[in-house]
Amino acid sequence: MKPRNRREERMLAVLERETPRYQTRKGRRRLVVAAAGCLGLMWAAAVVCWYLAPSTAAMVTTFVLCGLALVVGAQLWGMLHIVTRGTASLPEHLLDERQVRERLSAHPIAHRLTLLLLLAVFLAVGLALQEERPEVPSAAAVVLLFALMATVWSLPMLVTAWRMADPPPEEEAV
Amino acid sequence: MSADREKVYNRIAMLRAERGVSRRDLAAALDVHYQTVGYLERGEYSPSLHLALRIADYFEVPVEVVFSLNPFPRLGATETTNDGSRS
Repeated sequence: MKPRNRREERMLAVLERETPRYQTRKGRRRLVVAAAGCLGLMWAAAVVCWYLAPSTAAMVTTFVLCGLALVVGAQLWGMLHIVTRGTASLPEHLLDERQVRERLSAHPIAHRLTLLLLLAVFLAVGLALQEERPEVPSAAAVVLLFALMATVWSLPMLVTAWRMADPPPEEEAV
Repeated sequence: MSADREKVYNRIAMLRAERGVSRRDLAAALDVHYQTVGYLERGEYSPSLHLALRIADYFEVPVEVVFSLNPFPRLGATETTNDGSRS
């Protein structure tokens, strides 16, 4: 768990910040739901692009939804890092054996969810392509790809935050 | 295997209180996160053999003094043998 450089020292210092509102399992799960909502905005932008692009309405809606998802999502991402104490994000040499085990147990679940997500996207795109449309807007494909990448990238963190037990209460000075 | 069957009981909290060591001090000595010490004390995490041995080494006691597969008797509790004497 020894930091190897100043950057890692700073990362560990940031992760020691206390966020009492979100330290409990309930609070952490609220953050996960909010982060999933941000990802949902990106998926909504992809659907809007699919049906409305190319048009000004589609462009404006996509920029607003994706911008909102990025701004709010970045805040939530930082909070999730802190409440999980970096379990899903830090290099392995900065974690102890419990944290490594938590990370390893979250990954198979995230992997299964990714497979389900890919299957759902495959079916949804297949169904949408059956509708009478001359061509699929390239904007929709790009936004869909970004939404997919962001979701797959976020899943290990979201699963880890969702599953973590309540941390032990702070002790009084010995 | 169920979590109950894998449960490992420990006396870390008692030893720590007895020696006046804080959770953070113990965590620093063991090179683990301080919350890990809390999870260990609550029995929500069973350590690896390596960590268990290091904990025992830190408190300078045999590992079976700190960890057990059966609950530790409460302080002051005594067992009565068949002939009525206390052990």
